[in-house]
Amino acid sequence: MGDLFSYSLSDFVVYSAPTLFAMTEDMNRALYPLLILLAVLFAVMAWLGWRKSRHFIPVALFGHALMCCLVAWLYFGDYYASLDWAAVYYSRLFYALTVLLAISALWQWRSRSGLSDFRPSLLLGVVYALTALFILPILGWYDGRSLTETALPGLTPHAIMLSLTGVLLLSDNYLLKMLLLGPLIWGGVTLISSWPLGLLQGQVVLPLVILAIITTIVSRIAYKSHRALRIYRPR
Amino acid sequence: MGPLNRRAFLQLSSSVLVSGAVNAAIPAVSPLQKAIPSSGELIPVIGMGSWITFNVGNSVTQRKARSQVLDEFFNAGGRVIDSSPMYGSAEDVLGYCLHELDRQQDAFATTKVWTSSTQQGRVQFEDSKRLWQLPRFSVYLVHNLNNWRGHLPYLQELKQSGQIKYLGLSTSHGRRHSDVEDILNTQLIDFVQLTYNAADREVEQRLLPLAQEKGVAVMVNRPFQTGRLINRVKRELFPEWGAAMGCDNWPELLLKFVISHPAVNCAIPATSQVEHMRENMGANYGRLLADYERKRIADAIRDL
Ligand SMILES: NC(=O)c1ccc[n+]([C@@H]2O[C@H](COP(=O)([O-])OP(=O)(O)OC[C@H]3O[C@@H](n4cnc5c(N)ncnc54)[C@H](OP(=O)(O)O)[C@@H]3O)[C@@H](O)[C@H]2O)c1
Repeated sequence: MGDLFSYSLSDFVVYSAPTLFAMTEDMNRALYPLLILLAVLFAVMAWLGWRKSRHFIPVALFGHALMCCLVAWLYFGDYYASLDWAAVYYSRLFYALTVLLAISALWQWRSRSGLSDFRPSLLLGVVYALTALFILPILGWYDGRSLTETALPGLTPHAIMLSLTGVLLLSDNYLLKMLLLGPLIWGGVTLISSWPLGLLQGQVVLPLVILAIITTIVSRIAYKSHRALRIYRPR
Repeated sequence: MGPLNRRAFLQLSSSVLVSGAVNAAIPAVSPLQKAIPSSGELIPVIGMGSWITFNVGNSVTQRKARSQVLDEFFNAGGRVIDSSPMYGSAEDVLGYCLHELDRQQDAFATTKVWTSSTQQGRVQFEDSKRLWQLPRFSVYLVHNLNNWRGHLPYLQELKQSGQIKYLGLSTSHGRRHSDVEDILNTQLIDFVQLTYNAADREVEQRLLPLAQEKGVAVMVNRPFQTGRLINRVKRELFPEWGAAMGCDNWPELLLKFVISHPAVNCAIPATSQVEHMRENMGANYGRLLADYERKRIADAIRDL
């Protein structure tokens, strides 16, 4: 135990922000053809969501499983691993999410559950997806990233965790929402390094996931009381 | 240039010995050096750390930039380089830069064992040798006292077999000082690495006098409080009394404060910039400060 207390949080930040940005630039340069695949994936998810298709949730879950796998394998398993010994643990978290999301996708495909009918959840879900795609890169620019150093949605962890949070908010299945634990863990972990480095991009994940969890709890309470009212309302 | 007298010749040749190469950047005087108590070997008072600054991963551009920082360090008579497996790719990058500059022979390489598993510690030592591309280390420390009871016997083995020259342990931020005190009192070690600077002076009370009494060399980490101290002082105009102490800038003055403590052998400031390295290496020359001068620096920092 004494060993543990001999560290402070800042001890675990072993690189500087410019080094992280340069690493992202290297990764973007090597992996940019993957962007075409990811753009198609995002377009399919957006189209199914727009049409309120019953396939939206399972396809979105499967898409996120795929992206989590890419992040675990390429981002944490290769590029980020050259900077931080903790990458191996993050990689495990993303592999675990890959498996859970893939199983959930199959389950949702069969159970055919649909979109939430709690309006705030729906609204927030869409906002989170848009934030992941458009606002996060802008925050990165505010943090000091150049265009070539942009943390690309689909290949970097923060955006995936936010868009996954959005998808889980959109779903009407409460058991599925347990998966919010993944983004919650990542939000906490990434705050440890983003805070001392002063990187806003990483600092917004945790508060946004917590807001999503609160919204989910509120929607559950609203749903239950609505049902209770229906059941016990005198005829 | 005037005729070379005997004293100038001696000064020049000793600086050539320390920097290991004859080039235009060789300073005309030799660096300040202090003797390691357990052997009498002299080491320059300013070394360099690598936490964050040398963890640049595989980026070739950044690696080349760090090679320039290291080149500046060697040219200014530096030798002591500190790292740890905890610092991401820093050991690997140092190995790359040393190889690029062909300076392996000049480095007084210091690294650490950083694992709670005794068995893993052995693997880590071999990894460090491979990453630094060195056959042996000058100093090998137990990082943050992590499982020091388990690691020390192995470090002794390494010392006996000539794979390391000196052994010891490191701590920082004033943590676990009572444990360090116990170790200094009960174990035979050559080096202790700890945090000391003009703002964090707790070690002056017990650890520095004890290390001196036990004949243990002291390597000082975080001499700039991870940069915070520099950020505070650099807003102030460099004082005339600082110049009277023979210093040109704040970093040099802050380092002189540290290395002038009689128990301290060297400080290991970290930097990623050639210009900063140049400033820091200024403290490798000139004279050590007297107690009243050190007090003046500490007072100035306190009053900022
Ligand atoms: N437990 C342990 O074993 C332990 C713990 C802590 C540290 N250490 C060792 O001690 C070394 C030094 O400690 P540290 O790196 O934590 O902190 P430090 O040396 O006190 O400060 C480093 C910071 O100061 C800045 N700096 C350096 N020279 C400067 C100058 N001339 N002008 C302006 N800024 C300057 C650097 O930024 P730039 O890059 O911009 O110059 C860097 O951000 C570490 O690198 C590590 O090797 C060991």
